[in-house]
Amino acid sequence: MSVYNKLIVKLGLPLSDSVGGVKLCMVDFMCVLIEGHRGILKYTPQEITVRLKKGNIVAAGQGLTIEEINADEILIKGNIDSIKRDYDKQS
Amino acid sequence: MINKVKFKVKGNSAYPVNMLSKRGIRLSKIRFTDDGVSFVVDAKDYDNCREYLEEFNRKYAVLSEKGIVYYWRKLKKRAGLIAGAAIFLVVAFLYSLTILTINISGNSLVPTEVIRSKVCETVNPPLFNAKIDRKRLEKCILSIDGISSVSVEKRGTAINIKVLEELPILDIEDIKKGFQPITSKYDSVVTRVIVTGGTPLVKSGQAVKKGQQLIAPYLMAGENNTVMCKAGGEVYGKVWLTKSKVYGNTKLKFKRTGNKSVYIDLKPFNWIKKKKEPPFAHYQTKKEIIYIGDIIPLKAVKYTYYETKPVYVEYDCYADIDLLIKELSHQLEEEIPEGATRERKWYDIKKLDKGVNLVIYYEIETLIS
Repeated sequence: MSVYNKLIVKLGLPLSDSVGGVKLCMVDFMCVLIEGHRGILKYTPQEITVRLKKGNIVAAGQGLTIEEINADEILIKGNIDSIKRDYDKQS
Repeated sequence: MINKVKFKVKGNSAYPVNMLSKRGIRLSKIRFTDDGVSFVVDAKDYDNCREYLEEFNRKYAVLSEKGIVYYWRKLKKRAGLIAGAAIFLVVAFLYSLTILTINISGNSLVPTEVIRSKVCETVNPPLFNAKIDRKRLEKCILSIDGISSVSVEKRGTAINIKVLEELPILDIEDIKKGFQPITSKYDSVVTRVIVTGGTPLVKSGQAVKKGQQLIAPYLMAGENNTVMCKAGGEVYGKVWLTKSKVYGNTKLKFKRTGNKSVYIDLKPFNWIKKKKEPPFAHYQTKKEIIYIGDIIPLKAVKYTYYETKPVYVEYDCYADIDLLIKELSHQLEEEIPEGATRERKWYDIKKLDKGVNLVIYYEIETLIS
């Protein structure tokens, strides 16, 4: 975590003011916006693995699709059952 | 509409997606299929996307192009259609500016041609881009006799004119002419008096004679001052109707003498022939129809004439009195006016030297005026 973000967390400031790093924003378990990704590693309608700077994020569910992607953000839509951090060294 | 281009890249892997997204191209609607991945990019990233895909030797195909720019490019190839649509719009606009017909409604007494000729003095179609002076036109139409109001409206290429005609002059009847009183039609006793005009001269329970005045054609306005008016109303009263007949002790009957004459009238095919008259002064006739043959419609009519002579026989009225009463009552019933109420009925039998006098009485309540 960067110094700035540590300060944000310690002082209890709004998390939306943080810069860089990885941010997740999920709405109603139907879509999740991941900021700070490094690309897609695996894609199936049941599981999408997104690469991060350190580790991966695995989103599992049914009918998952990648709705939008750009250099920094990825929007995943579908019926999301779980989102977990993966420490796999191969990523 | 934002311009979008849909690509499909061969190879079922996330590499093209990662590669393009890392180079700043925004991808959307990413779908992974068995033979590749499809995605949508903005039209401004189209060239860059192609360049990157070719650089990394990826086989790709453009599935669709959407947006105003691409739509315009398609339209440019259909110049004829666009030109035709434009000409149609221009013609429709110009057509809407024309005046072609005049519709007139609401008139029944004033002829349509009279109104139309008056309108054509101001507006004479067909006209193009003419401005109608409504007030002047309405004033022009109102100058026609028989029209009380008018409304003028332009709708499409027609001018709709609705007129309201004046009411026809009524023929007023002068009731002062011919003041006639209401008189009685029968000798009766008045039961009801209903007056709608004039002065009643009788009251309930009063006996009146036929022709007597019942309602006078005037009204009293102070002492010795009468105002003439039309007499009106209904007067009901009780009327007694009678019918009498004298029946003698003898009755004329026709007795057969025993002589007869037969005449057969052959009627082939229903021809009508003049019947032969019998040779007797008084006779009774018997008619029989005889059919001859089934195939040919031949029929004969047999007339048998029995000679009779008038004979006076003793006749007892009392034996047939019920029948005589019924017969005489029926004759009297035909004289009862329509709508009358039958109150009572009775009869009287008076014995005479050579017969009987039967009298039937009917008491009715009816309109006597």
